[in-house]
Amino acid sequence: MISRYLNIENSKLPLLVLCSFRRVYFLGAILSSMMLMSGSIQAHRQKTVLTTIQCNQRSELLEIVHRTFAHDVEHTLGNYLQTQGGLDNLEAQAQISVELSNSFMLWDSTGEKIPLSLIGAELEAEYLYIYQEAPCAALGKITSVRHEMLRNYWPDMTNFLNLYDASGTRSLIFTGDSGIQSLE
Amino acid sequence: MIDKLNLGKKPAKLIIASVSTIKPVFRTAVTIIPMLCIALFSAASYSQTKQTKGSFEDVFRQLDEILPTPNTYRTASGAPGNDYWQQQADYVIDATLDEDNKRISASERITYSNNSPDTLSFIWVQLDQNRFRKDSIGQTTGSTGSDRISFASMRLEQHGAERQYGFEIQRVALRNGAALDYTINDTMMRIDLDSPLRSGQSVTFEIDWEHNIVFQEITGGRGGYEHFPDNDTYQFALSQWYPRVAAYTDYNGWVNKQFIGRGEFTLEFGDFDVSLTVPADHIVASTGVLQNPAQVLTPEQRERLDRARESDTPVFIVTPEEAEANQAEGSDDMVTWRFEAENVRDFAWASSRKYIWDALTHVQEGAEHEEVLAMSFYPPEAEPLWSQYSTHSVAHTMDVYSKFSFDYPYPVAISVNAWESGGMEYPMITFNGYRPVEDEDTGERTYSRRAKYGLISVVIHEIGHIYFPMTVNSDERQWTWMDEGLNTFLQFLSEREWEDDYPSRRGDPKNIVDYMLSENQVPIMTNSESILQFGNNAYAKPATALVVLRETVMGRALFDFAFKEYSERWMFKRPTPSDFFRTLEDASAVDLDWFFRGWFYSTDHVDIALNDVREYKVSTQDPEIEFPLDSEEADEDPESLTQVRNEDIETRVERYPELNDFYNENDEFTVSNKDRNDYSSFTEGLEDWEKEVLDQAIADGSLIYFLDFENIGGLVMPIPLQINYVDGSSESKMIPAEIWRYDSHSVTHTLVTTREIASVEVDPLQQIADADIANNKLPREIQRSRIELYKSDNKQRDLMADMLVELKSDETSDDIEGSADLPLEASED
Repeated sequence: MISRYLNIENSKLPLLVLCSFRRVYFLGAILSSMMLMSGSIQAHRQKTVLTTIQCNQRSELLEIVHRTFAHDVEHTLGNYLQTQGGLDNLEAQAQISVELSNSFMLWDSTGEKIPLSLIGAELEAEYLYIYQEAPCAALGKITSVRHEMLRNYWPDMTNFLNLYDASGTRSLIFTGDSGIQSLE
Repeated sequence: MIDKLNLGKKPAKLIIASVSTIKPVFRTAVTIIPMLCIALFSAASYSQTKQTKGSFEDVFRQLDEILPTPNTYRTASGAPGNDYWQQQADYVIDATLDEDNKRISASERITYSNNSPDTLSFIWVQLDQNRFRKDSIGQTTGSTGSDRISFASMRLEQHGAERQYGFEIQRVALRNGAALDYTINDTMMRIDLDSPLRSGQSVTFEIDWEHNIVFQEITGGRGGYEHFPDNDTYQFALSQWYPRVAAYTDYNGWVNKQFIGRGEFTLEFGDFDVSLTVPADHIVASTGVLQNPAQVLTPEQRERLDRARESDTPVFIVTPEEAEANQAEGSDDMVTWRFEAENVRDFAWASSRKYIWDALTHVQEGAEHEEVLAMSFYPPEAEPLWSQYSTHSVAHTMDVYSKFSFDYPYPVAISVNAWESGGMEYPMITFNGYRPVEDEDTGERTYSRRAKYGLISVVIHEIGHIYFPMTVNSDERQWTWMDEGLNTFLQFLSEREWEDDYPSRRGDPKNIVDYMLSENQVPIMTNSESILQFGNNAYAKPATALVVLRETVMGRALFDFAFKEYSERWMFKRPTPSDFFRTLEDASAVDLDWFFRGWFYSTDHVDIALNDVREYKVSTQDPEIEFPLDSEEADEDPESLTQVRNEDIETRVERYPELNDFYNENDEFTVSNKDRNDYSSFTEGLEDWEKEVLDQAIADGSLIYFLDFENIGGLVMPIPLQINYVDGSSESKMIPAEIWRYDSHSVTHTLVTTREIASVEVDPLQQIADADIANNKLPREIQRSRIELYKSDNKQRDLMADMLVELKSDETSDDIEGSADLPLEASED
C-alpha cells in the first residue's frame, strides 16, 4: 500500500518517543538524521509533485491538479506497474490515482477534513496528472495541508503546492519529514 | 463619433477616425478563467531599479552595480583577462579496494603548483566523505515541521550506529617524510606548509588514508557500494573518495565553504596517475586511459576493444553471458589497474565482477581527440535496456554538445549503471540509474517507455556534465545553476535531436510557469546550499531562461554564437556568473541586463495581458466624404427601443408641423459652409510632405491599431504577437522587450496596417512562460482548464470513472508495496 501512516495527524505532542526504545531518542535527535537523506540529491533527478489549487468560477469547482513525473511514479511502483502492463494502462493510472490521492489531504480550521472528489488521471508525455475537485466554497476554508504523494518512498522527494485565490498565490513545500503544514 | 488623435508632436495634423463598430468586437465575449486574475504586480524586483520619487522602475538599469568590477583576471567582456591564472594539482594515487569490508585504503602524492600572484602558507584539502560523519554540519542541521520519522530515516540512524564514515587520515607529510601539521574542520582539512609557497613555486606532499565506503542505498550520496540481494553481489562506485585540493581563486580565495550536501564542488585541473588494486575478477571503469590492458584484460577482451575502436555501434568487451558467469564466481587474488588522466579536475571509478562492458568509437574530425571511446559498464540487472541505449546516448551527447560548445575534450566517455536511482558526473565517467523491471514470477526483465527515456535523458545529462562543469569549471559550491542550468538546457536540445516529440521534463517555457508563480522560491542567484525548490531553481528555470533567450530574445544565430563563445573562452578555466552574463552580451550586441536581472536576480514571473485593442482609420477631414460615412455609421446604431415601441404615438411635431425648421430638415451630418471652410483651412495648413502622407494613407486605406499591454507578472519580456486578419490571413510579430523601458507596467503599441484585424493574441506559441494565457487574446476566448479538457474527453473520462468507482469500493490495493513511516507512539509522561 502506498499510504500507511498511522499517527502523523497527531502533531500537537511536544516530544515524541519511540516506545520501543524507551525514550532513548528525543525528537530533536531523530530529526537530525533527516538532512543526510535530503542531502543525497542527485545531479540529475529531482523527484517532485507539483500541485495547484484554484477555483474555476465558471464551473464553481475547486480544481486540484497534481502534476507528477511519470517516471517517478514508474520508478516507485515498478513491480506493481509491471503486472498492470505499465503506466500507459488506464486501469493502472486509476489505481495509482486512488492511492496517491489518498495521501493528499486538506483540513479546515475546525480540524474537519475537506472532502475531495477524485476525477481521474491522465498521462501526458513525461507527466502523470491526477485530478481532484471540491466546491469552490472550500477554497476559503483550507487551513492545513498534508501532501505525502510518493514521499514515503523517496527521502529527497519534494512536493510543492501553489494555491491561487483572490489574495494572490500561497505556496508550501513538503520535503524531508515535513508533515501537515498550515497555509498562512 | 470622431476621435481626433495626434500622431507625433509636430505638425500634429494627421487625423484618424475610430471605426467604432470594431471596438465592441474586442470587448465582448470576455469570459476569463479566474486562474490568475489575482496575480498582482510583483514587488520582488531588485530594489536597485526603484526610486523614491514617482513610480518609475528602471528595469533596464545596467547590472554594473551588481556585477564584480572587471580586472586583469576577468575582463569587462566576460573573457579571461591578460593575467588570468589558476592553480594546478597533480596526483599520483595508489588505492586498494577491500571488498569484504567495503573499505578503501590509499595513499596519494599531490604536487601543488601556485600559479597565483599570492604567497600561500597553507593549503586547504576537501574531505567530502566527512559529510557522512554523524557529527558533520550536513548531518546535524536538519529541520522539520512535524513529529514523524520514516523507515528510511530510522534505517539510516541504525546504520550510522553500526558503521562509521568519513576519512581516517593517517599521515600527512612532505615528500621527504617530514610530517606536516593539519587541522580538520568538518569537510575541510588545512595543511600548514613548513615554508610559504610563493608565486610560481610548487610543493609536493603525501596523504595516507582509509575510509569505509558508504552504503549508497542507505546513506544516499554521489557514490558508494550497491548490494544486489538476489544473488548477493556488489558493485562499487568511488567518487569524492580521495582528499582533493580545494580551489584557490582570484574571486574567492580558498573555496573552502563546507560541503553540506548540495553545493557540489569546484577543483583544480591536474594530471592523475592512479593505480587501483581490486579483486582479480573485477572490471574497472575509470576516469582516464587504461595503461596496462595486458595485465588486466584477457586477449579476447583486448581484441574486442580493438574492434570497438573501429565501430560506430556498440561492441561487447564483456558480454552479458560472461558477466552472468563472472558474478557467480569470486577471487581472492588482487590485480592492479593503472589509469592516467590529463587535465582533469577530478577522478572517479567503479569496480565490480558484475559488469557487462560495451564500447563504440565516436569520431570528431579535427579535434584533439579525434576518436573517443564511448563506453558503458552495467550489471546484468540493467539488461536488456542498457546495451540498447546507454552507449548510443553517450555518443549522441557528444554529437550535440560539441556542436554548441567545443569538441569533447577527453579520449573516453563512460556511462556506468552504478546504482538504481543514480545520476552523477565526473570527468570522463558518469554514474547513471534506470533499470528494467523483473517479473517476480517469470524473472523476465522488461523496461517501460519511461525507463527507456529516463535512461537516455540521464546519460545525456551526466555525460553533458563532462562539458559543464568538468571542463568549463564553474564553481558548483557557489552557483549550482552554472552547470546544472546550462547542462539541462543542452540536455533539452539533445533530447530534441534524439527524436521528435521526445518527452523532455525541463526546457519548454510553459512547464516553468507554476514554479515562477510560487511564493516559496528564491532567485537563481542564490548560493547552492540555500536554494528552495532545488530542481526548479537550479535546473529548470535557468534552462528555460536559455531556451527563451535562444528562441525568443536573441534568436538562434546570435545566441548560439555567444553560447559557443562562452564555452570556448572558459573551457579548462573557471568562469563566474558575471563572465557568462558579460560574454552573452559581448558576442551578440544584445542588451541582456534586463533579462538577467529579471530571470536570475528576481522572483518575478511573466504575465503580459492584452487589455484593449482600438481601431482607427485615417480621416480625410473632407466633410463631403466623412459626414456621409459618419451618418452611415450612426444609422447602424440600433434605434431607441422606446421610440420603436412608441410607433403608435403621434409626436407633437407631427401634430404641429409648423414646429419643423432647418434643423429638422438637415441633421448633424449635413455639410455646412463652416465645415467646408474648416476643411479648407486644414488642407492649407499642411506642409507639402504632410499632404503626401495623408494622401497616401487614404489611398492605402491605412488602419491604425493601438494595443494596450499590461505587465502583471513583473518580468518584462518581448511580446510575441499573432495578428489574425478579417481576410483570413495572419501575421506573427515580435515586439522587443525595450518597449517596456519607459513604463514597465503598461504600454501601448501602435500598429499600422491595410488589413482589418479580427483578433490579436500574445504569445500564441507559449514561448515566454506567460503565466495567464486567459488575458492574452482579444476578443477574449474561454480558456478551458486542464480538468475541463479532461472531462470533455468522454470516452477516457467515463472509462476512468468506472474504474475509480470500482477501486474505491475495494478500498486500497494491497498490490502496491512500499515503505512507509515508522509508527510512533507518544511518551506516557
